[in-house]
Amino acid sequence: MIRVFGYLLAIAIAAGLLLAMQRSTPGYANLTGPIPVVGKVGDLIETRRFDVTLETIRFARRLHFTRYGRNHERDTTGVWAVVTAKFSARNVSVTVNSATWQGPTELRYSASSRVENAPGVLLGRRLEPGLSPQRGLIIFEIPADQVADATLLVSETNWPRLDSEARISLSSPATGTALVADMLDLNRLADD
Amino acid sequence: MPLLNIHGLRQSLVTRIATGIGGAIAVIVSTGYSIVAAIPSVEIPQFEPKAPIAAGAWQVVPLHASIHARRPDGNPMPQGTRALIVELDMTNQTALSRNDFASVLAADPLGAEMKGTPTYYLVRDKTILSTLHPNMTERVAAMWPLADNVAVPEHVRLTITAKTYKPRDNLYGAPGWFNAKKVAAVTLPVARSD
Amino acid sequence: MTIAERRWRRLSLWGLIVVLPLVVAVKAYDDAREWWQSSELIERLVTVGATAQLGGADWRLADIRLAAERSDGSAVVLVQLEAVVRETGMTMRLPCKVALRDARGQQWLPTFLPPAVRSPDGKRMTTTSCNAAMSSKPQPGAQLTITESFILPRAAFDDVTPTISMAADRPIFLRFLRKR
Repeated sequence: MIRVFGYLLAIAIAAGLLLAMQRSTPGYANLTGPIPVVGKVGDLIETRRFDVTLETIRFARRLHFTRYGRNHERDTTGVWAVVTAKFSARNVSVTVNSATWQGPTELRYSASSRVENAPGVLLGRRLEPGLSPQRGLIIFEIPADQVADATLLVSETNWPRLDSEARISLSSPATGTALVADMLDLNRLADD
Repeated sequence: MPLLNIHGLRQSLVTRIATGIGGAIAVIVSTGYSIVAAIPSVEIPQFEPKAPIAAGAWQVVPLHASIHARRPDGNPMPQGTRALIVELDMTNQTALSRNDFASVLAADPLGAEMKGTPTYYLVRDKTILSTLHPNMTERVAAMWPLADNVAVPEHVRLTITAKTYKPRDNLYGAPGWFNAKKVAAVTLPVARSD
Repeated sequence: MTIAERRWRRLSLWGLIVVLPLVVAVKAYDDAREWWQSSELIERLVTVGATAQLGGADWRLADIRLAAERSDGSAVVLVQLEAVVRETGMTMRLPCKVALRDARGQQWLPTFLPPAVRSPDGKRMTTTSCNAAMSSKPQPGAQLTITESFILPRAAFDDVTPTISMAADRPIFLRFLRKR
C-alpha cells in the first residue's frame, strides 16, 4: 500500500515539475525576440548598431508644420508627444526605423505617420559611422492617460528578432507633471 | 499442449477490442465535426446605422453612405467615375497600433457596383489612412469608385468581419488575431451630395 | 548486472561523448552554412591597378574620388568599378555588397545615387549601381561600369579601401588597394 502511494507521489511530483517547466518556458516569439538595452532620458544608450540619447519630451494638443510650401495642422483626440533625440551609427551605416511609445498599461503606440513628412523627423534617416549624431524629432499620438510612466522602445526594425531594442524609461521628474501646450510649431523645433 | 491457447487468445482479444474502441471513438468524433460544419450557417445579425458593433480587434460604428464627385481628400475622381463614400468611426481595441483595418468592412454582395477593396481615408486630415492607434477613435471614410454609367444603388449592404484573439498561436506561440468571421450586417441608405 | 551488461552500459555512456556533439553539428549545419554564406570573412587583396576574379566576373577599381565636401565634416565619395563578365547567370549571384572599410573595422554602405549625375569635373555621367548592373542580365564578355556613392567623414576618406562581395561567393570578398 505504502509502495503504491510512493509511486503515485513520484508521478505527481514529476508531473508537477514538467508542468512548471512547460508554463515557464517563454514562447518562441520571446525567445527569438528583442534583446533589451535599458536606460533613461539623457543617457547614451548603446545598442548593437546605433546609439540613442533622448533629450526632451514636449506635449501639445495640436501640431503645426510646413512641408512642400504648404502649412499643415494636426489635431488629435489625445495629445501629441514630441520627443527630441540624437541617433548615431556605431560601426556600420544604419537606419533606425522604429520607435514605439509603451504606456503604463503596456499599450503600444507606433510613431505617428500623420506627421512623417514634417521637418526634423528622425526615423528613417541614414546614419553613417564617424559623422556627428543626428538630432531630430520622434512624434507620437497618444491618449492623455498614457502620458505618465511610459517607456520608449527604439529599434532598427519593427519587430527585432534577436536584435537590440533600446528601452528608455520616460518617468523622470521632467515628464512627471506634463505641461500640455496648446500648439507646437515643428518648424521652429526642427531648426534648433 | 492445449489445442487452443485460451489465455493467449483472450489476451489478444482484449487488446484488439481496446484498440478498436480508440479507433471507433476517433471515427465518431471526426464524423461529428463534419456534420456540425455542414450545418447551414446562422443568419448574420443585422445592425442599425450608428449602432456600435464589437468586431474583435475593432469597434466599428457605420455612420452614413453618400455619393460624391470628389475623393475624401478633396481631389477629383477620374473622368467617368464618382466616389461612393461610407463614413464610419473605428476604434482599435487591441494593445498595438494596427494598419489592417481594411479587413473589417466588406460590401455585400460584391457586385459590379462596388468593385474591389475600398480606399481608406482619415477624415480629420483628409489623407490616406495609414495606422489606427489603441483606444483612439477616428472617423474613417471608405471610398469605392462607381462608374458613371452604373445606376447609383439605393442602399449599400455592408458586412463587418471580426477575428478572435489567441494569446498563443499554433505556429510561433505568439499572440495574434485569427479566424475571421462575419459578425454583423448593416444597410445604409445612400445619400447624394455635390 | 552481469559483466557483459556492465560493459555495454560503460560503452553507451562513453558513446554519448561522441553522439551529443554529432547531434549538435547535424542540427546546426544548415544555420552555420547560412551564416558562413552571409558574412564577409575571407579577404582577397587586390593590388593597385590589378584585376581580380569574383563571382563570375573580373573586377578592377577604376576610380575613387571625393565628389563633394560639406560643412559638417562629411564628404561624398564616388567609387567606380569596372567588371568584365565571364560567366552567365550573374543575376543569380545578387545581391552584391559594395562598401568602404577602414582599418578600424568601420564600414560605410552605398547611398542612393540618381541615374545621372554631374561629376566633379563638370561632365554628366550616367551611373549604374552594382545590383542594377547585375540585374540587367549581362552576357559573357560584357564590360560594366559600376558607380556607387558613399557619405563618410572627410577625415576617413584617406584611409578607406573599397570592398565588394557577391552573395553566391561569400565569405570571400575583394578588397582593392588604392594609389597613394
